[in-house]
Amino acid sequence: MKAALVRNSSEYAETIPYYVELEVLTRTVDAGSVFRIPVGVVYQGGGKRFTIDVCGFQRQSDKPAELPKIAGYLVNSLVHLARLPSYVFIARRAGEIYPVYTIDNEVFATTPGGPIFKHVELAKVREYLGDYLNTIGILGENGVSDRLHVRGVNLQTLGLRRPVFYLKKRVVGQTDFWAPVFEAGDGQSVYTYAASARREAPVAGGQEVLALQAVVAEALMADGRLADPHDLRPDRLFPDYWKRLETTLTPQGSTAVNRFTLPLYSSPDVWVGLEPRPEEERYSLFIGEDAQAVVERAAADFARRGYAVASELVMA
Amino acid sequence: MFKFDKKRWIRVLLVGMSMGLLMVFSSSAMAQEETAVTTDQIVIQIDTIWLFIGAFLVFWMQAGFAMVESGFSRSKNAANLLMKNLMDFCMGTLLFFAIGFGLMYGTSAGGFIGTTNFFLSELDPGAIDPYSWVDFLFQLMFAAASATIVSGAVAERLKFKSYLVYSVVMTAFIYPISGHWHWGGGWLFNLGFIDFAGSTIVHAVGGFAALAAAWVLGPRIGKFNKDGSSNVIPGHSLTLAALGVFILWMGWFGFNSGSTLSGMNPGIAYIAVTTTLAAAASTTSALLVNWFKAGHPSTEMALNGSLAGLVAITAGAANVTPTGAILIGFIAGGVLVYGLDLIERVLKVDDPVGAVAVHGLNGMWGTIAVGLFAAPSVGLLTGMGEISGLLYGGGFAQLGVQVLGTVVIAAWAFVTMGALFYIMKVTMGIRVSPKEELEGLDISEHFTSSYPEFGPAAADVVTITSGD
Repeated sequence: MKAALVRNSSEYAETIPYYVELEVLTRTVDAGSVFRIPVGVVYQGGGKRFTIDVCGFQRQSDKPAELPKIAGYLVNSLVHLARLPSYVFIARRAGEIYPVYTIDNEVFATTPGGPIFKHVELAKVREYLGDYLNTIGILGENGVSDRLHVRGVNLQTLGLRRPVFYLKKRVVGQTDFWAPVFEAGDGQSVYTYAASARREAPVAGGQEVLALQAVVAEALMADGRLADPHDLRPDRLFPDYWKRLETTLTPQGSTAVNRFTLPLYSSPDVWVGLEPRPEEERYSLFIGEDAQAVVERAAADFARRGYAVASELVMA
Repeated sequence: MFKFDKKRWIRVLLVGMSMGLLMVFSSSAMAQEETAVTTDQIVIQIDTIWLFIGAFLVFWMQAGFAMVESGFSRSKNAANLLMKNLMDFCMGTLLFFAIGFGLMYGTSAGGFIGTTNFFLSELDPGAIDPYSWVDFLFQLMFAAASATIVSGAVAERLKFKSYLVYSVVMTAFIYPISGHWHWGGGWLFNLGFIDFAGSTIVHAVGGFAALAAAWVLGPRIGKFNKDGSSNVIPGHSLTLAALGVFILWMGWFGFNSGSTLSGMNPGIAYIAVTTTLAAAASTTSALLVNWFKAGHPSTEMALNGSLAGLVAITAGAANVTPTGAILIGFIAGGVLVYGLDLIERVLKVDDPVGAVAVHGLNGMWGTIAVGLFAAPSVGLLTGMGEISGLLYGGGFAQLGVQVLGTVVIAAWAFVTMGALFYIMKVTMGIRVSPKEELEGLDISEHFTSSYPEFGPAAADVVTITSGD
């Protein structure tokens, strides 16, 4: 392994004064062999410290020259079965990170001295790992305390990437489905894993959100895990993702579901109801074949989440 | 002044030693001239040496079990498993000497239980009877082998003291009593039951005791998900596990060929051949069946496949043809693969090393297989008698006895051991606390570490950098 500290001469040099360049030869099979890890700056007590972030594991030093060695050590300890993690689960309050590795179509979450949780779907692995961590007290009480947060790993910088949105099914009486969606490394597509395979949609000015939803819904229906394709909803979109999608939709006024007001949109294939989540600065969508279907789906979901919902729905 | 001459003193020492050896050998030669060695004495001595070799090989299997079980378990529990394999042998030795051997081979009371020879009271150290002593040693090794099967199934969560209690009861009572029914000349022997070296007597007893123990004990933390699916909890060293399998395979030559109890038996090499053929066939079939089922050739499955074949052939090694041995082995591989599924996915029992499928189910299969594959010509060669299985024109009679014997003995082990573990559970407790289970039994039970020079991974200590 070769590790070097390289000065950043770009316009971002003030916040990222260096990069650690790691050349990892013959160690990993599905990632590149060269990584360029940004070195950030934090100011503490009037002093300056330099920081790196490798798959969520952060290290700091007063001397940037020490960071290549530290980064090399971190990468070495994270290589498992000749792979670097493609995701991590984060138990934020407990301060724990669980690397998740991908082999073919399966993802594996490893735990120190414990089980390996393996499934084709990240959501299942998250559920199994979450239950285990509840049992051993890392996550506290199930359902009322900390949850596992998922992040993708950028295999160029080894930094973490947030999902751009999620695909989620929560229908009373049916099995849940949840899958984080990430942007591909080249920025040309969005992808997720569902029904035992990677599902992808090319970036199309925002419509990729609905395109990927349709692809995954079809796969889940073929798998017998989804009865109605519109029960699968794009959830917690990043604001810029929503803005891009919004430009491709036709506004259709709004509807009230009890105290909630949902702006409505239509596209050639589906109607969309928007549920803003201001506390997270995210946007969730309800979809259906028409306005009434969107309203009914929203009402059912609000009821499931414990919100009082009026029996009569009023179009605004 | 005295001067020490090293060379001179060495010469004196060598001359003295030579004279001494000469005197010893001449007196020995004179004694031999006085007492002619009879053919019977030579035969006894050959049999004794043969059984010694067998006993040593079976003893060596204890090391094999230790390696397999520790290899298939996590590193934080390795020392605990080594201790269990050591201590069940030691406790077993004392208890089998005091009680077990008498219950198994003492004078029979109604064909159900031995009643004499406790503490080897019928053996006279002054008598020139080396065979009786080595016979005890050989049988002791089998008792220990049966007991140690359970340690793998209860690995990583059973309290050490509970395991010691179990070892005492197993080697003192459970194994010897059912063993008496056949090898002690009891009721199964009289029915014509055949279990040459112990597919049922040793392995199914251990396997079904393991099933009862693992069932009462419950699964390891994290083994099963809420939806009933199971997770892999990988062992720490397939290298150790593979070494253990090779040791066991080697030991099995003593287990099976040694069970002729005589080096003069013309079938000893034949039995070694059937033993190896079955093991090779079972390894191959376990690999292939699992490959077909799971899509990859599993190392763990192949290793357990070897043991499954060895267990299965143990009952019929002296009764079946080489072809029969291969068929028994091939089926044993399938029994293993689907047996593991049955135990884990249907019964939801956590058996970290696969002891129940390897020893319990294949012990039963191998014993029943004698009723199918026993060939009269082989029985004549090995001294087992002219026994014919169903496929050799013997009808269903032998098959029926085989089924009866193996079911009754398996049930005996399961029920008695289930009761024992349940009683221990509600009295002294059998399971370590969740905290102890997580930190590993090496430190919580033995205050040691099998691999002290391996530090924790850097990834254990982290700072979260990314908010939501």
